[in-house]
Amino acid sequence: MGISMGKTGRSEVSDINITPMIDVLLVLLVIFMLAQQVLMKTVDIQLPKDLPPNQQAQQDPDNIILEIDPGSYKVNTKPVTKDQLLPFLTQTYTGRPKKVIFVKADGRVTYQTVIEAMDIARGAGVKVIGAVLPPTT
Amino acid sequence: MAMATHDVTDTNVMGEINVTPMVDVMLVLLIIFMVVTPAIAAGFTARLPMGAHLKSHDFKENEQTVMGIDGLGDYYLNKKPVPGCRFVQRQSPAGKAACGAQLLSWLQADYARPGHKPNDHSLYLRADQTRPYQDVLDAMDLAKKAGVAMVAAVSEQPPGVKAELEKATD
Repeated sequence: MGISMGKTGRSEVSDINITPMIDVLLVLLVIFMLAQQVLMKTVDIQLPKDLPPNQQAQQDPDNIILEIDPGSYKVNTKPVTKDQLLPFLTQTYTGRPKKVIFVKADGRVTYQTVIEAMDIARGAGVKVIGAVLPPTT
Repeated sequence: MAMATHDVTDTNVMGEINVTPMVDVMLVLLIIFMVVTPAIAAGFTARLPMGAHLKSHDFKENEQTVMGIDGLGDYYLNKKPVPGCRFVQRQSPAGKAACGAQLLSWLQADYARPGHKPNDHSLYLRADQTRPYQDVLDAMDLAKKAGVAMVAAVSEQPPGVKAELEKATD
């Protein structure tokens, strides 16, 4: 009895499934996106030098001081609403070589609010942010 | 004729193993661990503030100093809670002074440590965004006494925000 032991009808090379490959690709993409977040991203805040903090900022009348109190913002004592902050600062810093701002915020304001204001300042072109610390009691 | 009907097709021991779904599952598990590990490794939880114009820093964990302020206002240095610096402990003048002394000595010790990046007196601050700024002001005040010149407030970039990530030059 001749039993033909031929190959089963399967051809040697099957059609490659694209779907799982795209799946793996997308998953790799997500992994790379997550890996980027490990970088430390910061808002750099300069602490005042040893001069008495309040006096340092006020010594130079050319300095721009942003005061943040609960619910109000003031740039060099001029009240500004939060929406006006970006356009006002952008205008102030255009053409100004010294891109420095001093931020004086009340202790009751949320940390997020302060960082947000500093971030807006960065968006307006500020390069150096200095924190004004209350006088040490 | 009794012939043992013997379907060749279903006695194949195993079809060829599909590697692709296995790789897929492995990568998904990798993602899950990548997301979960920082939360576990952080030592404390702080919801960082959001910012769009952030600087990126090369951060080496053992060579630089990180101060933490969690959602309750407790202070941490390099992931360890600073003794005497829990928020409730800092509310009395005596407690505040004790915390101040403790944090100051820890900061000075950390900057003087041989493994620390020399001449790098910057302080990375991971503070919860809901804390009143006073907690941060107190921390900055003590940092200044320890010789810190710059506080790098670690923030998160909201997804989808296209921002220029300036590389810190120093």
